[in-house]
Amino acid sequence: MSGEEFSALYDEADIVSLYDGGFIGSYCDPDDTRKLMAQLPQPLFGDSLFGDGKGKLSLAYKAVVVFEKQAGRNPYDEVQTTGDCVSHCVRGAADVARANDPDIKTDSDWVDRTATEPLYGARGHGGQGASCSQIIRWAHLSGGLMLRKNYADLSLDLTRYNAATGIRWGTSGVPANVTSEAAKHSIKTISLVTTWQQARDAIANGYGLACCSDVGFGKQRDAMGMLYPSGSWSHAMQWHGADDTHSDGCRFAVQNSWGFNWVSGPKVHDQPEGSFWISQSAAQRMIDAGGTYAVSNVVGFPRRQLKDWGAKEVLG
Amino acid sequence: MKDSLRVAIIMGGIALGVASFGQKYLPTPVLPAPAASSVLDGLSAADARSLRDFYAAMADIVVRDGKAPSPVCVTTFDLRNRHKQALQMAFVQTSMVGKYAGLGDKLDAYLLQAVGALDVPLVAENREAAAKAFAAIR
Repeated sequence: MSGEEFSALYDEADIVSLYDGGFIGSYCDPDDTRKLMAQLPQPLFGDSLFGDGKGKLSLAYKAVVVFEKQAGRNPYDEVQTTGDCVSHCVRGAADVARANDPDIKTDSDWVDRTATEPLYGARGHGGQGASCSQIIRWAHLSGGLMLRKNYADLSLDLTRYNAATGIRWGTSGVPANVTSEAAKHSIKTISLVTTWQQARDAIANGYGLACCSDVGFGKQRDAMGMLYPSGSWSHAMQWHGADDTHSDGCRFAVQNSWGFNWVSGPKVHDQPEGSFWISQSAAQRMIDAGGTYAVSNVVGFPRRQLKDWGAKEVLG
Repeated sequence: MKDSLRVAIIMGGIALGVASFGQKYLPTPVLPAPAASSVLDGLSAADARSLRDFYAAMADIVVRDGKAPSPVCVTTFDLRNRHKQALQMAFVQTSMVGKYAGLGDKLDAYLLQAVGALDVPLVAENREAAAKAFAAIR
């Protein structure tokens, strides 16, 4: 990677062209993934929440939209300007888990968008792109999450997305004081997802999904808001919706970090700008790349479940 | 169906679930939820009317709450709790309490099925589902 490429910042159109042309923004390292699995108490998502999303329309992004608007933001408006898709993807998954936590409102100092820069800075090398297992490991085990705000004590202003910060830390590493601050809000649980059913059930319970794969897509949504596999993107994108109400299989809502203009066509279920739906088969193909993680802001993936509606207690 | 046969079927289902999914996952046995139209079966006409009016009001309230600048109920758990409190305020110390065996269970089972069992944020879709479920109790 040349020095020019190392510091490159791109505009929206450039980013799309780069990925279409074979740029490697994310990669799954099987050896590192195995090492990560050995470090986790719950390496595989498995049957944790089996069947919770079956036959249901689960729109986890709805809570994120509310969450972001409460913070005065335009949901999903950050456009990556370098090869930091993994950090955008992991951030998105973490924010889904937080926004859908019914108890998060009790933690009032922690209700804003997550910053991407420390996550990208933790990739462990210069140049662009990142290993999915590397970034998500850092967010879970040694570092964590930081918000879009000014950390004056650290002389670190993360109020606005600035890819240069994460680019710079790739070689030097994330500063120790930043890592310590991030670790106060680590991602509490990550588990590898291996089937579309697991992805569906995680989303139904409001947990985030970070997916790294090499499946590319078209750019014109059809009447159902869907895109279909086309070409190859070494790319990371978060999933934040599941629609298992159709006879032809479960569909998943995927959020890209390329802004709002790279894709056009109809949308359904108030899906966010810059997002699209994919088929069950496309979803499984992406999962098969071995880089799809369920993300929880608490220990484990507890079923966010109601036992009753209180009528028995009142009426007998 | 005799109770002994029902229990045997449920226990068989649990055993099958454990065998199918390993020890980590034990599915919760759930009895079939009653249809909305049968929830009030067996109640006197006056009592049925009271509950029907109560749930018609709940259907209206949950929709209007969603349009408020700061909704009172922001999660399904909030709505569950407000529903319980509203039932208490409406029916405590009336003859309805304890009068009909299994009425509370039927209502709970129906609402778990119709509104949902997950504690998640209330958004337009599940508010609408809740309103329809409440309105269908008649």
